[in-house]
Amino acid sequence: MLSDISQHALDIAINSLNSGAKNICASVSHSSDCTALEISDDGCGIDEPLLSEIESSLDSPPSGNSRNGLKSLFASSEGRMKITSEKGVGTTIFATFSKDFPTGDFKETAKCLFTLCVAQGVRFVLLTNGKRFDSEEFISNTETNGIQGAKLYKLLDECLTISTKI
Amino acid sequence: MKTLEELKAIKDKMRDTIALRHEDPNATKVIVAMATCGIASGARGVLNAFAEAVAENGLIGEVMVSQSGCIGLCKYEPVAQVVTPDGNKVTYINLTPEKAKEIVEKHLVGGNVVDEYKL
Repeated sequence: MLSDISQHALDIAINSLNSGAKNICASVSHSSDCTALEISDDGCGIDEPLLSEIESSLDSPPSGNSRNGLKSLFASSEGRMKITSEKGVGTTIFATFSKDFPTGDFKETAKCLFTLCVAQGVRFVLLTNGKRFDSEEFISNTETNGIQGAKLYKLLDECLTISTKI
Repeated sequence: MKTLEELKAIKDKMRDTIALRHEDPNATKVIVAMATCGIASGARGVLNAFAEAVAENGLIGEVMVSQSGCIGLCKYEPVAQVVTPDGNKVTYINLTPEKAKEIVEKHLVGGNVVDEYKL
């Protein structure tokens, strides 16, 4: 089972990549009583019968796959989840967690998604308590300033340290 | 917020110039298993270590780091496969960020498979 929200966000976003999305937007925000996570994509979407099956499986006993990991997660963290999707348009997953549930390391999740998304021609946007990181804006800026290689990843680390601070 | 058409135009423009984009069939691929089991075992840090080591060793454009789903080696995760353009595939198991860095230096740069981390 995944141990914190940042790992779940990565797991969900990789599903977005696998669905053929060209744009993925993840948003995480803290309030006084909960943490909210939303991930949306413009991938292939989920057709209605499968979506119903997924929602039903979240109500069944855990059996070891990622959906039931989410079910156990929400049961233990006093959270809830909603999936909206349309075939051919995309999918949005919205989840809330108890404020005491581990947030994890969103900088590491963002770095991972940056690498995967840029290599696959996917735009990745991360919003964290109002701060924004956009993979295409970042690449554009580094290209304009001739920053490549190790310097690019150093700059990426600095940007994400700021933009993922919760 | 840009329209999807504008985003596509940006993407197409970037395709020719972004150093991190590797569509070269001659590129070596490092494929990290990133299913739920992989993430739970630490694959995120391993992938990040591969990406940074590739950049530090000047291999961007020659090596592409990507993900796969579960490849059925859950008890050995984190797992990554190095696939060279000739189709040769080496599977590394029980990885850590430190081992990933070592694999980049010894295998990708030096050309020597790291036998002690192989499946």
